[in-house]
Amino acid sequence: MVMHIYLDNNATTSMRPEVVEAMTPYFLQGYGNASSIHWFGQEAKAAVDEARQEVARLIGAQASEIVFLSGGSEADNLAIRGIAEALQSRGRHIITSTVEHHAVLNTCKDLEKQGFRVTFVPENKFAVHRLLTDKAQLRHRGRITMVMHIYLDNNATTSMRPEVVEAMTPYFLQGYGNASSIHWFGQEAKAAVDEARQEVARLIGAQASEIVFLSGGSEADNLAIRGIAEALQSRGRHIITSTVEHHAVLNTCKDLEKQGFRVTFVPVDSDGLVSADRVGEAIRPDTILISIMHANNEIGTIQPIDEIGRIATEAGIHFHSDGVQATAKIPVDVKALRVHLYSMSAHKLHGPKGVGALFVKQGTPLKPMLTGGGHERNRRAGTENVPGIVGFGRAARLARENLAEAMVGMGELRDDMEARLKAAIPDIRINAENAPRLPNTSNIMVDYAEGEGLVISLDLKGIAVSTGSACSSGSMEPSHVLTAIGKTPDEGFGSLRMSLSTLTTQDDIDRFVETLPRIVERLRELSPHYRR
Amino acid sequence: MPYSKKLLDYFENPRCVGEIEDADATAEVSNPVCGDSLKLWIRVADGKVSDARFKAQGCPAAIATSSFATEMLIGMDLNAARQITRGQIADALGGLPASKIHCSVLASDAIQSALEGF
Repeated sequence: MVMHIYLDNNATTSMRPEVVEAMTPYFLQGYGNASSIHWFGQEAKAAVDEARQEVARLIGAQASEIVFLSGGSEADNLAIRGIAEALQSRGRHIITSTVEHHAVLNTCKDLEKQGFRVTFVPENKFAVHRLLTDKAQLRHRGRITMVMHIYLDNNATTSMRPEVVEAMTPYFLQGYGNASSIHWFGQEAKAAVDEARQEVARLIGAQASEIVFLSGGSEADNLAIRGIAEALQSRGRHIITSTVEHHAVLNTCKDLEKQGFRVTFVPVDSDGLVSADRVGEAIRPDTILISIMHANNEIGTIQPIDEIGRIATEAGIHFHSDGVQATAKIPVDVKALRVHLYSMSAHKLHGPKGVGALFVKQGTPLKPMLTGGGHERNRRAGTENVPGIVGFGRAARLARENLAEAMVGMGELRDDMEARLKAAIPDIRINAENAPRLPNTSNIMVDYAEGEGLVISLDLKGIAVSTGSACSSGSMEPSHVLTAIGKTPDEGFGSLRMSLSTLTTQDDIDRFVETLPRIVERLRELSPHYRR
Repeated sequence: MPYSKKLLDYFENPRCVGEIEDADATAEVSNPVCGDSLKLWIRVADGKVSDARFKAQGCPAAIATSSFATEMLIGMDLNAARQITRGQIADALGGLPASKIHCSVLASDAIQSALEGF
């Protein structure tokens, strides 16, 4: 660190030490996915709710009126595109000013191409509003203490590795520049982003220039599918995907159906496996995209992506694979897989939340979903999440360096766990047991016990897992993945997913294997249907 | 945790679990959508519920509300027992998340059904 004076705070600011301090517990201890029902998830959810209150208070809003997203560019895009699409039947005219940020200006210009009319009012015609803001009272939560918890829900999210936090920290307080700025702070940030881009590219055998950083796996899936759909719709409007995709793919495809695209959802076998032949049979002259996940998040099935890639290449169709669960768990080589687009998420591989990447093969046509500045080679607007990207890069490097070892280690623990569970608990079945499967994932069906009851019972013993069969809103839909492999609610099963990471220890597995049989036995004793 | 301490206690340590041989009334109800099911056994003496037992398969909310309702029944006048509502059961357990209200229906339905012949 040289003595640098920073007078570019409208580009970006240094983080306050109190802010870094408030975040740190959520890197290494309170790292749950805020959607999970176990302790880790509920801690994360409470923290998000509290932050939502604070942000709301800053602008005199209700907490329920705050939507968290990746940054200002995405907020501008969502506001303008969201209203435009929702109200286009009422009218298609928008008023803005000539001095708006590019995230507003370019979004309005993009809408003009889609038939909206925009009036750009010169600035002096607007009254200048000044926002008076209370100084947000940031306090250290101190909520999270280290309890003896065992975390077996790594397909939901992972703990950050200490090395990753260490790599990110300098970019909070010293190297906090905006990577688009030409001064020292900006160039430091840019160099760090470039280095991370190399690391992420190397993890999947890509060129650095083919990596687009964005907010996570969901955005990567959205950009891949919507980007191709919009870019190639003049050529055709048919998309092929499968029934076991992540919701980020499924719901995006369903949304495109409403916009006039046609989608074929290829079914899977009882192991959750997509047949490459069936994908080939679904191809039509107007097919523009095939999107098949590399590995399934719930049951871990690994799809024959290389075979599908060969079929797609022969047919000259763009091929996207959601690799969020596969990266860092099995070797990935985008060239060998012959994909044009590949989605990744940092927080699934011990990196930070809120950052991901899309591999976009050189020369792939893709319409950007977020408009604004020319970040990420015009593929995705928005100031780079520098510390997040740096953390992603470090996590990718660690994953690459340790992959062979990690696969063996997680696989051995998982296999040991399954063998012991089968021996200890009657009437359980392992999903996709003999299919090609991620080494860290185990999904079991427990007869005469309900999924949420199992998860909550384990959580009360300090063990975090997840279920694909919790009843909610009056409909116990088993997850779409369990339904797709033929499991229906009247089978009366509870499903449990255990997902390991490289940080999972033999001790964790031992404690889990000792705990689960007693819980299953207790719940079965309560069941009116169970007979020993 | 979306559940109250009291509800979790009834889930972890359910009261009145079991079956009653020669029960005066039984009922078996299930929610066809979510798969939860409850079987209730009741013994009646002098116009009152003298004993009650249950077995249930379902989520924590279903098990806790079933246990709590069964315990509540014991010693209760039959007319009063018929008045038990799902809201009463849910409130006594510190409320239920909106998506779980349907779980408490199981218990109130079973009570109504068991007492139909009396």
